[in-house]
Amino acid sequence: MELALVYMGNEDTFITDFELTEDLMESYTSNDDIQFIDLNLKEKVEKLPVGTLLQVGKKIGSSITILSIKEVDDILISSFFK
Amino acid sequence: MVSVAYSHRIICDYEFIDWLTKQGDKISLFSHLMHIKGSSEHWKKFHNLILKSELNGNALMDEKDLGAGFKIMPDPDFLSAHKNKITKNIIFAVDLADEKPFKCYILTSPENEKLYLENLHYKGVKSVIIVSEERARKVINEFFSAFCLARELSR
Repeated sequence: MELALVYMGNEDTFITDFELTEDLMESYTSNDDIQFIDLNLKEKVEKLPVGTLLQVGKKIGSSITILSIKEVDDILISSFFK
Repeated sequence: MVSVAYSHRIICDYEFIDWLTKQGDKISLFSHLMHIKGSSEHWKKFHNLILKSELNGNALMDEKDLGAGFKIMPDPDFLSAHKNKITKNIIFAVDLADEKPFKCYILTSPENEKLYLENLHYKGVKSVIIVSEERARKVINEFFSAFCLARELSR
């Protein structure tokens, strides 16, 4: 399963769709184009429980670089509502 | 991977989002919708949909935030002949129900529910069910329970 690329192009950094942890790791292990800029980040993702929703920041270039992840929590969701 | 074969796909309209934003449990309901969208066996990330035309000029939520719970779909060409939003959603839902899981819920407001039921395009349609308020809440919570069960089984 590949990461859903919501915004394709040459933009720098953006927050994309929300991904389940397994998607991210499954994509990472099966797709050489996905990289973690920080191995601590990779380790953090690997430790998250199955079914965790993540907000993923990534950079699209010749490869997909995962820049940041954030667990989706009630505070984040509450910010959706104006 | 947590994967659930949900019994129905989900479409919502603007009026449902308006209703949702006024609910005390809106955060948990939206969180549930996000999990459902991401865990669908048949339509991962495309399970919950809202037509782009539902949002034109409306700003209940930023589109990027709403997109976490509902994939925002450009209106298909076959809807271009229809101006009425209720009609559009019914025809869109019927088209979606042509593929797995062959059934679809339209989440809306109680006022709009009546309009859907009275719409001529809805006559005789069995694959699309219109729900609002408590029935909509029940659908979302039941689907989320199915997700939780699948998650437990995967651990």
